[in-house]
This record gives sequence, structure tokens and C-alpha cells, in this order.
Amino acid sequence: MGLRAVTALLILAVAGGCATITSGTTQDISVDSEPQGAECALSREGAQLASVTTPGPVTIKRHAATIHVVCRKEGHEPGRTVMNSRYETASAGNFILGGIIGVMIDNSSGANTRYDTYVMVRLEPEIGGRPVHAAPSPQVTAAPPPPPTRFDGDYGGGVDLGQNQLRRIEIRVLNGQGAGTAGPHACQQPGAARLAIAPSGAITGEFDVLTAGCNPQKGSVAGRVDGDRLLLSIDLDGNKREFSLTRRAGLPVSGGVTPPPPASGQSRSRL
Amino acid sequence: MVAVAAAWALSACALTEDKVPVDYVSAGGPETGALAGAADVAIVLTATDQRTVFADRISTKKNGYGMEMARIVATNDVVELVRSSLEMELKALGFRTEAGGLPIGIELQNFYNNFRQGFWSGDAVGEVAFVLKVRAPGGTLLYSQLYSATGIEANIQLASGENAKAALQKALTAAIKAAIEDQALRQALLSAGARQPAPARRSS
Repeated sequence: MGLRAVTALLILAVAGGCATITSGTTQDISVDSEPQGAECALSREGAQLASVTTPGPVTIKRHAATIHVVCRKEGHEPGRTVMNSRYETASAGNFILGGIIGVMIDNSSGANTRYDTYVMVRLEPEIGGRPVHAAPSPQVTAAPPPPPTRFDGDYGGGVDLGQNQLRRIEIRVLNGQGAGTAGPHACQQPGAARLAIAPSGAITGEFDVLTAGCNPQKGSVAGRVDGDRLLLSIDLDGNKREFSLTRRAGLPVSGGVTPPPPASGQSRSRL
Repeated sequence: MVAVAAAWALSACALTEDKVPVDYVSAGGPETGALAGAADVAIVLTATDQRTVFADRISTKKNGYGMEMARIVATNDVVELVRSSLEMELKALGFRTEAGGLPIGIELQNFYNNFRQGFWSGDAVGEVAFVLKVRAPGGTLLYSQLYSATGIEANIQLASGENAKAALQKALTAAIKAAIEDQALRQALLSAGARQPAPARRSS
């Protein structure tokens, strides 16, 4: 084997596992519930991963299998949700460096997958069981929740604060109200992101984007909806930055999914 | 020239949305016939979509690097598929479906196939998960259980809709089987049915 071949193999071996190196084999997930203060357990393939009182972060090992989240709170029915893993885009670096060795390393370490960084679990009050509120009072009737809107869905994107400071934003809009996270992955707990979308599509909100030292830095947000994108501007102490968040998936509205169009020819891709 | 043409043609496959019909295949089983007392219980099944990730698809094609490519979608409504499959099996057990019957809510949590890569071949791993809630007519929760099952189509070469469909159908069969074989669910339905108001019960 020639020197060039040996060198090439060494480079591949060293650079292999792009996502394993760049984004690691673990990730943080912010677990939230409505109402907050619920005890949530995360499990995967029957094994418990973590438990947390909401809102709170958990650190889990990346893996391709789905995570089941169950939250419990006194006076409420258990709330559940399932988190499917997605492809970690950092693993695409193997396309350039790493090659098949990098793919296999990322695959075995789980680094080529990621979960959403924020999960919200809703708990319905118990009906006819134990009372939701300890003291019976005519004042406990809560205002009915706002109806679902066409803007509801999961949005993601980033804002460039300059000087290579990128902040990743993950936000879920439900009934026109958005809540999620903003901040660098390096910080133990990301900042909070909240916004409201009016029926006209006008957006207002407040993001806590975190500084490079993971310190809170609040910024007011304003913008508008443009199709599947939220065109936003954040004002951080007079420093204004434009950015956008793209809808990843619309949230299902009670009643089922819209049937996809009729079947056409089959197509295939290689594994 | 040939390489460019081949690359173009092959990449188009992965970038083209795949549409497949997903069916329910009953697992059958040694138990046949109706449950004693089930004919006296009227039920109504409704289903809602509670999927929060990949609600717009049942799987995603992957290329050789594991990168997600085009969507794979079902040509039929998978929420309705789960509901009608469970309804069919409960009717086979002898329960009647009737307006005003015992409300059974199905919350679909997951209906997704993930292609996992191996060195020589891969696996299609489908997961179907739903929560089933039996309520009294007043809304009181009588019984709640999560049923989750995976179906694996092993040693596949293509991240195709057909392979995703095969894995998901296995998962659906297993999840429905878990539900109808749940003795606690059967007992909850029979007990609640015994307390049903007269119009919902069969007059014999």
C-alpha cells in the first residue's frame, strides 16, 4: 500500500464521525408542561432515561429510537407525547470528510440523530375525579383557551448576533401563542422564547437569547408571518437583527390529518 | 457524462415523495368468538391526532449517508386507520358500536417508520403508539393506557415507501393486538357497560 493510500486512510479515520466530534453524543432537552410543576419521565425502548419537574432540562444520549414522555400532576390526567429522532445535520460533514467510516461512527454513537430541543406536554384536568383546585370556589373557572390558528406549528431557525455569535431558536406555536428556547447549545439551560401571533399575522414577543457566557440577554421581538416563515426582528439594547424561523411541521388540529393526495408511482432510494 | 446522468437519475429517487397505502392486517389469534357480556355494551370510538413530530408523514427516505431526503406519506388517513382497526377488533369481541355508547378516545401519539442503517443492509423500524381512554358519559376517566409497538422489516436495501409500510403494518398489528388482549381494558368496558343507561344497552 502506498504512502498516499495510508495517509488517505488515516485522514478518513481521524476525521471520521463528524457529528460525534462536532455536536457530541448527548443533547439537552427542555421539558415543559401545561400546567407547569408536573413530574415528567422520559423513556426509550422501555428503559427510563431521565425524570424532571417541569420546566426543566434533561441531558440524554442521542439515539435513533423514539423517546416517550409521560407527565403526571395531581388533579390532572397523565399527559404523554412521543419524540421521534431527526437527522443531525452536522453528520452531513461526512459527505466531505469522514466518508463511510465517519458515517458508521456517527451511526454507532447516535451522533447522527437529534431530538427536538424543546418538548411541551399538556395535561388535562381530571373530570369527576379528584378536584383540580383544592378549594372549591366559583372563581376557579378559567378563561377558555384560544382556538387553534393557521399559524400553529413547530418553527426553527437561528439569529446571527454578529461576531460569529449564532443563537438557535426552536419554538412551538399553539393557539397563536409561541413558546420555546433560544440560545447556544453550550449553555446548560437555553433561554426562553415567547411570542404571540395575531390573526392578522403580526408577531410580538420576547426572547432571552443568552450571551456567549450564558447570561440572560432579553430582546423584544416583532415581525410578521410570511407563508411558512416568521420574519422577525429582535432588538437587543438598540442592536437590531433580522432573522426568520421556518415552519417544520404544522401541529395537528383535533379531528385528524388531512389525507394526502392520491397515490402515484413508487420511487426508491438507497439506504 | 454517464456518471452525471446516473447521479442525477439516482438522486431523483431519493428526492421524490413516496405515497403508499397503509392497511391493517389482523393478527388473529387462538381466541375466537365474543366475550360474555360484550354484546350488552355499546361503544363509540373517536380518534385524534396527537403526533408532534413528523405528523405530516409516515417515514422519510434516507440516502447512503443517512441524510433525510423526501417524505413518505400514506395515501389514507392513518388516524382513521387506527380507529377503524380497533373498532373492527372490538366488534369481533362482541362489543356494539352505537351512537350514545361508551366513549372511547384514541389519541395517536406516533405512526412513524425510521430507517436504520447497517453496513451491508438496513432495517425499517416502524412504531405505532396510541393512548386509549375510556370515559363515563359524564367525562370521568375510567381507564387509560398507552399501547406502543414496533415492527421491524429487517435486512432491507432500500429506504422505500414499501419497506416503511411493511414495518408500520407490523407495528400497527402488534399495537392493536396489545390493546384487544388487555384484560384490564376488557374489564373496564364490561364494567362500564353494565352501568350504561338503558337506551345504550341492547334490549333482549
